[in-house]
Amino acid sequence: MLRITQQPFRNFECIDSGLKLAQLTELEKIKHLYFRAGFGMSPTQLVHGRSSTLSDEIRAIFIGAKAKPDIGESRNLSLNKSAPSFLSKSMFDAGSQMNAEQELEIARNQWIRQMAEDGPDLLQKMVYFWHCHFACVCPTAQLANGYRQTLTDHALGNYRDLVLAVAKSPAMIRFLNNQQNRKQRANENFARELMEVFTLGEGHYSEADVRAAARAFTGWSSDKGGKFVFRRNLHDYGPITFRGHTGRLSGEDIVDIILMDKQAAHFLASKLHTFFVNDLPDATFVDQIAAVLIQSHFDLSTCMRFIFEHPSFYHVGNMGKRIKSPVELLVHLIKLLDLTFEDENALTFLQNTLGQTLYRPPNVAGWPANRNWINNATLMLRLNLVKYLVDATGFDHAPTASLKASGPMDVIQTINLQKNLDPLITIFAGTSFDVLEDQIKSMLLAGGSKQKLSKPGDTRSPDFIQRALLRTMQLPEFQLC
Amino acid sequence: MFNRRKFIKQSAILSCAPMMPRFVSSSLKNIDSGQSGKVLIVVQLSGGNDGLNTVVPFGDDKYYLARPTMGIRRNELIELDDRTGFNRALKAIYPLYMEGEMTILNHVGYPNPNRSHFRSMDIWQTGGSSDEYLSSGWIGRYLDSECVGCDRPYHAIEWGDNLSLALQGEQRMGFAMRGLSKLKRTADDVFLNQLGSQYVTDGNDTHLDFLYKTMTEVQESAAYIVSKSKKNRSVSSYPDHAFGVGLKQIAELILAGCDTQIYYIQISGFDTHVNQKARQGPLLRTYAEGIRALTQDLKNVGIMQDVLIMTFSEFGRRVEENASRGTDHGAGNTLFLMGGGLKKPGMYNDGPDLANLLDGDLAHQIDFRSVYANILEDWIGTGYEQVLPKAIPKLDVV
Repeated sequence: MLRITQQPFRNFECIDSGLKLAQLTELEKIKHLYFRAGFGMSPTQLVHGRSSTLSDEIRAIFIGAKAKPDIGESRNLSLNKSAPSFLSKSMFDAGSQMNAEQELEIARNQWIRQMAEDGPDLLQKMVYFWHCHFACVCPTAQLANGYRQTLTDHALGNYRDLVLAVAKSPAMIRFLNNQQNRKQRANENFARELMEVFTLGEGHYSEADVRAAARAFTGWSSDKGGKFVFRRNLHDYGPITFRGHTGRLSGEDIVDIILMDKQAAHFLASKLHTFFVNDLPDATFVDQIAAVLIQSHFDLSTCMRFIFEHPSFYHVGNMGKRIKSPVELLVHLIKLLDLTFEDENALTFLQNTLGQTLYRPPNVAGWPANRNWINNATLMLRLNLVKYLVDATGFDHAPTASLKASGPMDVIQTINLQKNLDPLITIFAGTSFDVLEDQIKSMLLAGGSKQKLSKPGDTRSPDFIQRALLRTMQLPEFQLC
Repeated sequence: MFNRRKFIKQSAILSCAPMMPRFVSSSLKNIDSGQSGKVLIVVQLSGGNDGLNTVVPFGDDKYYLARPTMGIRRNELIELDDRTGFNRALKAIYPLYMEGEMTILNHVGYPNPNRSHFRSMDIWQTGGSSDEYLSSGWIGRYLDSECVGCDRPYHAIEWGDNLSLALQGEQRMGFAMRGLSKLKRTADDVFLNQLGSQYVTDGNDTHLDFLYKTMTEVQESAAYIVSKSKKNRSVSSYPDHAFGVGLKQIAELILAGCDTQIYYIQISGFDTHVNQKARQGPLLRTYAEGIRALTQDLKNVGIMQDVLIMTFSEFGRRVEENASRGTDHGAGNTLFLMGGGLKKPGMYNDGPDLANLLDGDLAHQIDFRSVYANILEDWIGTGYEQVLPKAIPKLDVV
């Protein structure tokens, strides 16, 4: 039975890097929770959060995480079958891969919409984390949806079940060539990555481990319909010796033996800390997370609750210390501005252009995060994105070299979408002018900002509120979460 | 003989003096810095260009056996020697070959080839092996290395709206640009400029410091490039295609003495699974005509010997044609080097060897990193070991 002693919540004081005492408001802590356990707060969530408590919100996000999102059936979600306005005919035309790519676009859009919903914030953030962790390139919507279903089913369940489900996921089996892993003709790709990037980390396994594990996973394959199959005749029934254990080891045994190593808990704890808390390591906190994983037998819900209830999580030095990934940025903007994209491929285009496309990580090691998102092109697009989306003008962007593109440059100048800024503006309708700017910055920015948005002569008007909101979203500070 | 350093120095002084942005003064001192004074232009044929129908082994019957409908007949080719010929679409660059300003390398690739576009492109752009995942590019790591002037983002420019992994280092990055109007908007954005000038760092090198620093560099670089671009006009006629527009922009920056050592540009659409002839021909023609226009611009001012153009694609295509008059993803491929300073112009090694295939694809004989090593060390003027992950033999072509 797991027992974790912890202080009840209160407005504790913490010392930030400048040795300055900071008193955080309840809403600031709730906002931090939603940036990390979700994708930021929608206007509705902000209004609610103003009169809520942190402990109520933590309870709420875990209840919301029990949602069972609808995955797949994506064909019905197709809104627009004709060539989207921003793609020229040459790009839209022919090619057998085009249909597969369109279906993937629909699958991505469905997921992005679900990420932006109020309620399943934590569930979707976990699924997104697992996609970053168990990085897998999915070439078709069917594989992508199956893989997301797997990650969703176990997102806050047991880590052992999750690792095994991923090992049986047809998308991963194909991505890491396990269908070619056969008795006497082992393909070691999956076995190696299982230990190197999924569970233990480099330097914590041997080449003999890889060879032995690969044999245990022989015959783990998938059929044409995208379902897992165990091909008995291709399986190596051993005996196999893996990390000191000998016998007729199955893939399940391999995962169990791996998870017996404390390094497995430490590796996951470290990844969780980097992703949810801070990319600067905090050895004490990581050790505590690892201990919770071991004590709870890798119960992910227990582990995540431990993190989000931990006083260190709410340290001001952790706030606004991550650079939003492209997906996090897009989802936050969708939530804030209630965006609905009318072109199916608009969101995929934005992901490509910002440097992160769901179901297409660069390789099995996943996306390198934080500063790796930023270069001159992505930064200027990020800073101007809200302007482009809200004003619907000024956009002027050529997609990354498309495999299909030829002929004159296809430049995208409009993204068709619907937006609704009223809920956001309404939040500040009663705020007096002298605190308005500070209120806006404190509600929308993860780490605040010292930048002045108003000019001398500005007065309180709906126009000013809208301008201050948009300028806040143009600040480099808005890129942080 | 007019040499590029002098040319750049002169044109820089002539062209920049009247309206030099404040931050340029320091870089002007380094104007002939780029360690060798040489310029490299990398051209990426995206999608996997079919090298076999680019440099065609007409002397080998196996070629026509593997490509009964797609094989190009000898009388349709421009013969390079008694075995191989250019696809006629490359007519515009044939004079470069004849004048000793082009080297053709055959069978370029890497061990355990990957046939995914994205993965293979990453391998070429990072300079890693097929089993290692690097998060920085080979040009980016050159920028990271201790080279003079490399701290300026515009030391390496990619034409386009996205910065390729090739130009992303661990510390430093190249600069992506497409057209001046967008750059001008970036340079002139009053609100963002004001933010940059108001920001006060607490000196902790936080992510926020990094964002502001990057933003300010982008604004300054944009202003610098805009100031350069006004100065010199190309006189050549470029193809009416994004690639032509980009090459023309690159030519004008070189002519204006922009302090940029490496340019990167892509032309895409080479993924010819279906009806290849109708698609590859026009693309190769656009490519060749663009290169001809560029080299004419360079020759007009006598700086051809200071510019090297490398053309590559992420993989070649399957030797055997498919059922849709196209070809599927392959491995080893042809790589072109062009410029005035080539040590071994002409055909560097024997043309495609169809007798020794690897899983139906051309095997690699030259590791592409050997070409990078050669360019880095002997053209750019930097030790290649600090840029490329593994010690590999260096070619001696440039």
